[in-house]
Amino acid sequence: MFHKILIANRSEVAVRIIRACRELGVATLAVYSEADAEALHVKQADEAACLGPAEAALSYLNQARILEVAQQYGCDAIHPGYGFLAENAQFARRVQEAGIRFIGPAPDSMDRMGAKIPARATAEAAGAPVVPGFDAADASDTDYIKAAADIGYPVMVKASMGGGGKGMRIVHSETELQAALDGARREAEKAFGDATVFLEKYIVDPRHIEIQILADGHGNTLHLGERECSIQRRHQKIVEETPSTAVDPALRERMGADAVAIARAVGYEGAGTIEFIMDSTGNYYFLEMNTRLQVEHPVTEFVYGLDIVQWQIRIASGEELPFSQAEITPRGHSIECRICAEDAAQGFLPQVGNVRVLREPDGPGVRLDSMLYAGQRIGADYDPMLAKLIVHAEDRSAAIRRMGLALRDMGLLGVTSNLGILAEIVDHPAFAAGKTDTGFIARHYSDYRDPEPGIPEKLAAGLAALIKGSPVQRGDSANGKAADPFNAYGNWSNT
Amino acid sequence: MREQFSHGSERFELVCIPGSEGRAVLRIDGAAFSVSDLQVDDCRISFMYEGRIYRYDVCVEHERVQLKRDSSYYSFGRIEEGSEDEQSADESALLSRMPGTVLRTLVQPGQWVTAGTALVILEAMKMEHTIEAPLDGVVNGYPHAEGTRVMPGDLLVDFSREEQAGSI
Repeated sequence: MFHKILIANRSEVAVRIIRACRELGVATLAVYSEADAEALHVKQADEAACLGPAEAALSYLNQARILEVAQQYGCDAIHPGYGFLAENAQFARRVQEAGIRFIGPAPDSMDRMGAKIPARATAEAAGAPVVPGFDAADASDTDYIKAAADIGYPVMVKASMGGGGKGMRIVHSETELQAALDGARREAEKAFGDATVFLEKYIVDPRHIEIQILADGHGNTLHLGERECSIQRRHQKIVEETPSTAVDPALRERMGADAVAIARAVGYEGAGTIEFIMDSTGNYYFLEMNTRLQVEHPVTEFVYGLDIVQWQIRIASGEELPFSQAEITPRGHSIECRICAEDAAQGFLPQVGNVRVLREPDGPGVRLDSMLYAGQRIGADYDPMLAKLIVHAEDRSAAIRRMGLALRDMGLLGVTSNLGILAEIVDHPAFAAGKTDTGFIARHYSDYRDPEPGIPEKLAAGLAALIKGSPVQRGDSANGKAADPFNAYGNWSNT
Repeated sequence: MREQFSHGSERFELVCIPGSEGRAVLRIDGAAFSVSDLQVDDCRISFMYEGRIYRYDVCVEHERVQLKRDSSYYSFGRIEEGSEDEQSADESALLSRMPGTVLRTLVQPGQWVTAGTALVILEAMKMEHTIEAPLDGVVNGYPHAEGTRVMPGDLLVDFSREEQAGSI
């Protein structure tokens, strides 16, 4: 086992990895940017080192600096988390060359699956179905226009290095194609440093279903079932669950076998995810492979009773998986909601603020993977995801009820979040009926408004403002505590 | 005590007349409402109104009051006393809502555009956000050039509402 792991990430995933390391008895080194000096992962790790300024290129993407810090602090492994350098084969190679273990697949596997264009070819060769598309790497815009016409509109422009919805455009007609290509390239160049894009047939409102893979260095490649991640906004998942209502045991076996075949084809090692999309008739197509830990891994951990992050670390340290496919079975149902600093009533626009009120839900089968603490500043430098709320229960309807209650018990004020709309989503009859696809948010919440306040809300707002921050001193009420407002009001009790 | 609030396009004035033993009378735009059993702590408020207890998590900041009850969230803007009746709803659509960078300005100054025309692409958190014309009107200019970093509340487009020339 490793001696000390550098966690090359921030936010809740860094906190998650620190927890896994602790349970394995491995020391941790957190790294952080100047904007994150007060972040939770910095507070929780055994040691912490500043990488540089807030800008990711100078901190969390600064490969040379991260390697320098790893050596300075005597780390023998680096866990990249997800995002940032997690799927950067060049970084993985540099880590390897520095004599440090990169916790993830071999750089060659990443090369073959990291970019979407070669990944499609690999999946096809492994016998998995792929979406009709066009992926000539050196094609001109004229070629794209011709290819799009051949595939048939609507088509999707995607960044080869893409992820998280960045560098992605849906194009309904030829007149929109040029602008979409330009915009996608610009966004891809900015986000991934590679402007290569490709075309795919746009499958209208598919389900997004993915298979979790776990592969060791001893030839064992297993799948841990599916996750359905169809509830998305801005092409980014916000609610995920397992099992999917659209997958029965026979289909799980088929999709699992395809996923295992793809992983084997690239000699994959570690935890990875094969993403598929499924059309309304149940046909599924390979979408991409994420050669890293996935944000929504906790739902799989719940139903399989396995710690995927610990297994990433144990596999990287050379351990062999002690169980076979037949020996692992899912139990119950798990749902995850991603809590983000964003305003659903303003097109999910990211929000900044200070965490003034934080209530964390608990109870049986409730897990919160979070970067939050009271008093924290939420800035605009990084991804707006703040936390993930995950529940596990005996069946889907019990899990939905449990999630609804946990969302109600959770409280986050001071920064506008999506908690309100998440509670509405899991309470929606279409969600209960399993009628989930990537058009869900657009279909049910295209004109989402915050709930209309009634008289009691107005009274509460007025009372709170008048008591907790009078106009004269309200600028000082920033920490949420009243200066001394009660004296003026007589006998109001302060409980 | 009196304060003005906004919620969406709605505005209301609230006057509070404190009583004793956790009672108060509040007037919303003149109409009176009585509450009792008022209790307040750091970030919670509860009171009885029309025979029912209401409990909220509250967060009072300089520019807004946020409330949460069950799984519903409410946000009220606080209108500073004596201030100009702030930005019109039209103009507020042209303000940056978050820190970001002006990536592109799309329409030549002086041009007349219809409501919904994309005017500015703002980049924030590595995503592109398009700022659209809230109404038919004329783009007078851009206070912040391409590549400029902007903060929440910064005006992105100098815009005036105008019917199309000659259409009157």
